[in-house]
Amino acid sequence: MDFQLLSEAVEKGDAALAEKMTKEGIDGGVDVRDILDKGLMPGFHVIGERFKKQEAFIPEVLMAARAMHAGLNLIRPILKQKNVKPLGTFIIGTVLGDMHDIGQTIVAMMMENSGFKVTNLGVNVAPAKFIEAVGKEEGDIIVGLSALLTTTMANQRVTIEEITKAGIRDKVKVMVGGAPVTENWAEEIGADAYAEDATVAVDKAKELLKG
Amino acid sequence: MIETLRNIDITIDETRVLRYFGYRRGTPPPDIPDFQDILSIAERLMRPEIYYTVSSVDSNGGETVSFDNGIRLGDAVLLEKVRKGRRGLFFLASLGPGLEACITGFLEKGLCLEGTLLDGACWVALQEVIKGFKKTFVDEVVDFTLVPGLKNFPLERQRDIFGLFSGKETGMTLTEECMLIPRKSLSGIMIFH
Repeated sequence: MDFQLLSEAVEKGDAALAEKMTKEGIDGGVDVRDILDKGLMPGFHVIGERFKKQEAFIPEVLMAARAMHAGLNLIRPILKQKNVKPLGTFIIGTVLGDMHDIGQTIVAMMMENSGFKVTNLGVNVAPAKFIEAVGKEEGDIIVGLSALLTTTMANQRVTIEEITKAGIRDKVKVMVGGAPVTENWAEEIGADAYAEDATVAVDKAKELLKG
Repeated sequence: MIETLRNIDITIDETRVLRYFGYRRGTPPPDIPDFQDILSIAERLMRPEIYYTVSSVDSNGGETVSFDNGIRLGDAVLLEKVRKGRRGLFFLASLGPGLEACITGFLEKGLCLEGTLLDGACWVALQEVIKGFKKTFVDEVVDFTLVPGLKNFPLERQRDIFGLFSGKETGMTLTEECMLIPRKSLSGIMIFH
């Protein structure tokens, strides 16, 4: 299997080719772990690096994500059958009072493509919903709190406080992001990490899992 | 008195949408599938409307500025601009609710690229609406728009501006967190002679 070609298909956002090659690889008996690690993932990684250097922008990242997703959809059931565990669980939502959905949807998609099990709680999410979602999960859990308004970012603090009061703060890592959010704010409210964009969020999530 | 502007003719410029996403002038645009279709959806679904009212500066007493519509603000950024003029035009502008529903629909179906492109096209369209609106007052405007939430003008000011208009008439609402619904809306103040 031409892993390089598959990687380039993802990088260029060619979802049809990525899907076709992944299917052919699976049908031809190629190890799905290899298809993922040597084909799909490197292409996605390249576009992520280009994004960080401002050589590529969100539309291209999303095109690549879509192409990767096309391949991943075919691989995921097989990984599940083989009992391959996700990197961890990422629970994301936009905090209470905030209806912005674009940013958190992009982060959720990036996390899923990077090997996380993702629970997207949507927008206007009350602290109790985050706590309830954490209660349903086992293992490494990261909670991502998105806020796009200066008037709602305070609810990131409230959510962390409620998670603490619920006695599950040591069970989860908390990451915050959104337009008005800064590293200082993340530190002030007791978050474990701050991510300024979706690619950084993936890197930080992986770092958090390393402890 | 509240004035209304409807049937605003807007064309969404593809280059401006690409620039919104960060592509610089001179950079070859990427071949984004269905991009033109997304721009067409935006143009088809948007219903631009602007509600506005003009009010004179009642007093400009150093640390606050009062308008004769009752609004009294003490923001440094406004004080600086008000020194240049004697009236304020307060407005609410919206593209209507159709686009918001369409974006949410895309995202719910996992069509993140389409939703994001449409969202970007909407913001460019909204900027075009405001730019066109400003042009109609070219002889009167002395300083460009202060938009709550941008450039040190607090988001909370949206409450003051929104309060000048009837929600029933505009079809817009303001959440407790000062978010305008439909989301593809914004408020602002222009300073007039």
